[in-house]
Amino acid sequence: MTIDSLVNIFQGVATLAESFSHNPTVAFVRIGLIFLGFLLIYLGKKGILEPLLMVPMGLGMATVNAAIMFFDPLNLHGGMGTLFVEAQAGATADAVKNAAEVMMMLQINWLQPIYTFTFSNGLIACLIFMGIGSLLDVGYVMAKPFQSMTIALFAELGTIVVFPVAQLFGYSPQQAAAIAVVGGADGPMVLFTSLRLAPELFVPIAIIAYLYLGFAYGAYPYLIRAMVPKKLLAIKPPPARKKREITSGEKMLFAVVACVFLSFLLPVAAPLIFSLFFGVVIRESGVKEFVDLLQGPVLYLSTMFLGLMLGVLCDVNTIMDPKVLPLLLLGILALLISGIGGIFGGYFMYVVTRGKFNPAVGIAGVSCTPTTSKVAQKVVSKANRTAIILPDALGANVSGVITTAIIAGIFCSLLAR
Amino acid sequence: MTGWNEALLTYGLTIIISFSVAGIISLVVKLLETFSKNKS
Repeated sequence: MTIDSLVNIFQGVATLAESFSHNPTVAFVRIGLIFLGFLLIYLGKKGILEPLLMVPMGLGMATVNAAIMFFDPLNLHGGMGTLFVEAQAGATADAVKNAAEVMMMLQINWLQPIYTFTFSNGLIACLIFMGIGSLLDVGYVMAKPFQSMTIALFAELGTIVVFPVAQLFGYSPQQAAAIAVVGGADGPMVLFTSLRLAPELFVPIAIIAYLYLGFAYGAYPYLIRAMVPKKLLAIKPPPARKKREITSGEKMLFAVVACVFLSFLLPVAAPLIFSLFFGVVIRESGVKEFVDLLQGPVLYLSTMFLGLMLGVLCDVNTIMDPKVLPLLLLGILALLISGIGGIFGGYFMYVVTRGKFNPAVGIAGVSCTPTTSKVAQKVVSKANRTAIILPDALGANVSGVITTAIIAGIFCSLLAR
Repeated sequence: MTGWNEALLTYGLTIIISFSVAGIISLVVKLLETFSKNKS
């Protein structure tokens, strides 16, 4: 047995050794990504980060960086690759060459069918949105529509501010819009916008968006405590005036009208808008079989494959791209400014209602449904156990999804190539 | 600075469309309330 045979058997080790000899930075980043994968699994298991995404993502990230071998059929990564997925397959301008590349990779990489047929066309974003829609109770928005929308609009500040800031970093307006939408904190919307406007940055933007959404879950409580004094955190919302309960038929009517109205205004975002309101309509229709299907298999299967795919796409070649580093900064900036904007929205409502509104609700305008609502309620409950702000927070949360869809639609229409 | 005009235009349009949606919601709720009162 020769050394070459051993190298052929243990290609993961051999590629790492080769990286150490030719480009040690790549080797260190690869090892770092394996350990980052372990860390994400641990933080997901502990509940510090969102386990639904972080566990499959962490395992995918650690494994794909371990399983690098001497394999690069499209000559894209200097002779090294994996048998998982090739996001660049079919990325050339030549349509015939594209089709041939995609067909070849579909027959080699085991996750390629999922990437090609659900990711690169935005289907996964729509499926997740159907699932999210089936969990949304639009009754909270219908109870206080103007209040909810106002907060959500404040919480879009990150998106608006980061769009020009990203252009200062040298990104094109399309790329800047794709990264700015991270400020809307709506994962499917980020996937959709980056696929439409900057497909070349889809992978790093999607990874960054979901990583940060996981971190936002852990970091936003600190932001709320830093910006809202304990006295204001303890504010109890005034008891609701006795109002007629909103029926499921009325919620359905609203969903149908809003879906058609928004699709009429923003046809580019219509697939996402339709998917969201389709979920809402199915929920309110009461067809139990469909509701169970959307809330269970559709939502969780899509989320699981989303996490897994993002982890698998997070290989050393993607992370070492020089365009990725500024994206890391811009993504966190967008979410931070949106969070601050949301709390400013809470303060605005506090002033308008003459001190009867809890400013912490503002964070729920950042539309990471229902995470930010839960975060707001958790922080408020620590200051005053009897303060129930969840209905107001969920209203702002659902409105946040709508405002992000509007912004994504405007960006896609305004900046279409 | 590059991009601020598009950013402000996007924000302005978002505000208008969002409040239009909020207006539609209020209108739907009001109409349905009136309808259900008349019915009863």
